[in-house]
This record gives sequence, structure tokens and C-alpha cells, in this order.
Amino acid sequence: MATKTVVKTPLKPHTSRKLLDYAKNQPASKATLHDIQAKLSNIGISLSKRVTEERDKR
Amino acid sequence: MFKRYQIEKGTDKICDLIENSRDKIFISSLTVVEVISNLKRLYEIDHLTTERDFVQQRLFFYNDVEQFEITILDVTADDIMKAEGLILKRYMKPVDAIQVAVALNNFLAKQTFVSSDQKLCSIAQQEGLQIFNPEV
Repeated sequence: MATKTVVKTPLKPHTSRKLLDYAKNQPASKATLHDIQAKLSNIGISLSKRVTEERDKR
Repeated sequence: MFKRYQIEKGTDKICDLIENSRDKIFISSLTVVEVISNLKRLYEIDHLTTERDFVQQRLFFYNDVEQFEITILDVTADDIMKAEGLILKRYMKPVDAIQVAVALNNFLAKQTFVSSDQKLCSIAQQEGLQIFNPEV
């Protein structure tokens, strides 16, 4: 009689291969982190706070 | 992710985490949409940035994902059911519930849930996740 062995495999994250490929296929940004931070840091809006507030409104 | 792109409380911690962490970094596919939507809003609705800025910011975000090998996690039916379970336990905002559900369903040893929303961190902690609030 054949026996079955159950092996508990570690959890594998459900990675979004499509989105990763999509990210990799984007052209390189011409901006540096410093450029990005300079444009976004003094606009008077905190994006992280805005996201939290938007989630609160929904 | 926004703290990396705007200098504010916690920016240094988030940049250090993304650039120097030996641990794998995960974001959900929902985070991708939130980042792009909010960058677009700054240009199209708030008129605080230009279209060119938006294009560069969007590309920079995707370049970060590639450069720092950030793993994007799909939101699956299992995550939605988990999110419902979280909401049944206590009221939660839908997007928050999905973010925590995705983290729980992809639970890895020593995984840390990162958010600057203290309420969300508290719930994630109650659910057994280690938390890191870059503002604290």
C-alpha cells in the first residue's frame, strides 16, 4: 500500500510578477532622489498624511 | 513610500530602510496605485507640480521598485476574505484592512509592517505583526 507523505512547505508570498515586470520595463527616470525630494518637500501637503486622511474619509 | 520622496518626519528612516535593509521589502499592489494616484493629483488637481514632474516622479518610483528589488504583492481573493475577517473583528477602513490582510497572508519570519498611521500600526500589532512607525 502506497503511503503519502505530507510535507509542510514554507509560505510563498503571492508576488505580482506582472507588476514587477511592468516596473522593470519602465524607462529610467532622469531625476535624482534629490530632485524628487526638492520638488515635493515644500508643497504644503504631506502625501503620507493625505493618504491616511483619504482612507478616513472613505 | 511617500516619506522617501518628501522630506518630513521619518524620511531618513524610510530611506535607510529602503536603501540599506538586508531584509526583503514588500509593498502591496494597492500601494502602487496609491502612490501613482497621489502624484497625479498633485499635478492635475492641485497644480502643485508640472506634467514633466509627474512623469519623472512616476518613473522614479518604478525605478526604486526595480533598483531596491521591492517585491509587489498581489491582492487576492484570500486577502479580501482576510480583510473582511479583520473588519468583522473591529471596524477598519477598507484599504487599511486590505493592507494588513496582505501582510498577514504573506507572513514571513521577522516580518515588519511599516506605516506612519499609528491606528493602523496598533491594529497590525494586535494581529501579531511586528510594526515600525518611522515617525516614532
